[in-house]
Amino acid sequence: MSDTTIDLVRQANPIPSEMAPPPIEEVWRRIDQGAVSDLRDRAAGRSLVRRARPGRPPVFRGRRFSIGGLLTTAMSVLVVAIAVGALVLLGGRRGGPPMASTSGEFATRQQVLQTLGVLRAPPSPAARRAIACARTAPTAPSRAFFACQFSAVPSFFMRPPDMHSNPRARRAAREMAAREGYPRLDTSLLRVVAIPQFDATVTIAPTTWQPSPRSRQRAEGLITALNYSRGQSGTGPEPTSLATVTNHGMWVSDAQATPTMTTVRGAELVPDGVDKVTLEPIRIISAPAPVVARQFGSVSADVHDNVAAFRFPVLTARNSHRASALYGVTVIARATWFDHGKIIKRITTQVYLSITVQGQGPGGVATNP
Amino acid sequence: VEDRARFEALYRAHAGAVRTYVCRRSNAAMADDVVADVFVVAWRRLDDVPDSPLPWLLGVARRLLANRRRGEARAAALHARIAANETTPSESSSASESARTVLIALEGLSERDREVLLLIGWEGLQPAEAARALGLRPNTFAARMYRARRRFARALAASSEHTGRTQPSTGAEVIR
Repeated sequence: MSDTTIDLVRQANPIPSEMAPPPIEEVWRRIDQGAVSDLRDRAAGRSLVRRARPGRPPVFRGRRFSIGGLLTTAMSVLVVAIAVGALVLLGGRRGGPPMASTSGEFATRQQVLQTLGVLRAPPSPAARRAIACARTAPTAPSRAFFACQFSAVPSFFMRPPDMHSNPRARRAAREMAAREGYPRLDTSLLRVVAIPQFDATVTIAPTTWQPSPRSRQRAEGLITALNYSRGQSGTGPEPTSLATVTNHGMWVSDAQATPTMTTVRGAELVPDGVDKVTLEPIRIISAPAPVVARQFGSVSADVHDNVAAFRFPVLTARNSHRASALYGVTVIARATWFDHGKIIKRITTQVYLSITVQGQGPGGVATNP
Repeated sequence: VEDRARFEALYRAHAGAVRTYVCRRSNAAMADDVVADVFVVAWRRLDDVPDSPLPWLLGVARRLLANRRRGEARAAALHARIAANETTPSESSSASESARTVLIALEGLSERDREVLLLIGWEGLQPAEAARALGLRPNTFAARMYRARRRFARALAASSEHTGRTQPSTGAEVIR
C-alpha cells in the first residue's frame, strides 16, 4: 500500500529497519519455569474471536434527555440496587463460600501450569484431536460425534446435559449436574500422555468446577482419564484440587474390570521434579476377603510427562460368605517420590485395585464390595 | 523434537520483527521481556500458529503490550519518543521536524486508529495481514482504515498549526 498518508507515517518511523532478535535462551528459561500468565494465553485466542464481531456504538434517536426517561432510569437503578442488596444479604445469611475473583481463577490456573510441565509443552497430535473434539462438542447422532467418542476427551465432557436428545436423559443429566456440579474443561491445556507399555494414554484435563453454569464460583482442579482399547476410566466429573496432586499424586486406573483379568493398570499424576515413584500398598479398605495389602507387592515406575504408569496383580482369595466375583477395592499405598535417586517425599496415596474372590456361585464382577 | 525445531525456526524468522514492533511502541527495556512472553505463548499454542505467522505474533504482542499498559497513561511511549526527538537538536532537519509533526498527529489519534496506520506504515504489513493481526475481517479493516486516515488528516492539520509549520500534505490530499 502506498499513498500520501502511509508515506508520511512511514517517514516518521523511529526504527526504520528490523532489529536483531534477542537470544532465545530467555524464552526457553520462561517455558521451563512456566512463568507466563494465562491472561496472555487467552489474549492470544479469545479476544480474536471477540474482536471479529465488534459491537456497534449505541445510537441515540430523538431527544436525549426527557423527564420520563430520567424517571425510568432512576427507577431501574433503584430496583437493581434493591435486588443486589437483597442478594448480598441472602448470600451472607446462607454463609456460602466466597466467590472466586476472576484474577484468583487465573492465578490458580497459573499455579497448575507451574506445577505440571506437561501442560507447558505444545499438545501432541492425540491431544490436538482431543482439543478439537472438546471445542466442537459434536452432537449425536453424527459421524463427528462417534469419532470424538474415541478421542481422549473424558466422556462426560462429550455429552453435556443439554446435548441429550432424549428428554428423560436430559433431565437426569441436569439433575446429576445440579447435584455434582458443572465441570468446565480448559481446552487449551488438555494434554494426552502416551503409555506405550500399556498401549494406553492418560488424558490430563485442567478443569474448573462451578455449582451452576452461570455461577461465578470457581474451583480450579484437574481431571484425568486412562484411555485404552477397552474403553476409558477417569476420575469423574469433580476435579481434584491441585493441592492433592502436589501432596499425594493423583491416581487413575483400569475401571473396566473383567472376571479373567490378571493385572490392573494404573497411572499416577505427579508434579514437576519427580522422576520416579514407588507404590507399596499397605491397607485395603473394606476388603471382600482376608487379604493382606502387601501381597500386591511394591512397584516402581519412572515418570514421563508427569505420569508414572503401574501394573499391579489381581489377588485371589477365598471367602465363602461372598459371591464369587472380581471386586474393585480402594487401597492405601505408601508412595515414595524420587528425584535423581534421592527421596524427596514419602506420603500415602489412594489407589484402586482388584481382588478375585472365590466364594459362592459362579464368578462375576463386583466393583464395589 | 519436531516442535522444537519448528519453534526455533519461527523464532529465528520473526523474533526480530516482533522486537522491532514492540520497540516502536514502548521502551527498549520492556521489549525483550515482551518478545520472550510472545514466544512463550507461541510455544504453548504452536498448533494455532498459522502458516503466515507474523500477523498472529504481532497480534499477541499487541495484546501483551495492552495488558502492560493498562493503568498507564496512553501513548506514553510516543510522548517519550517526541521528547527524545526534542533532545536531539543536531537532527532538527526538516525531515525530523516533519516526523515530529506526524508523531504528534499520531499521538492525537485513538489507539485503534493509530494501530491501523502503524501496522501498514511501520510494520509493512499488507491490509489483509494487518486485519489478521487485529483480529478483524478485511472489510472491517478497510472501513477502519478509511476512518483512521480521515482522523489522521485532521490531527495532522492541527499538529501543523500547533508546531507552526506548514505541512506539505494536509486535508484532502492526505485523506485520499
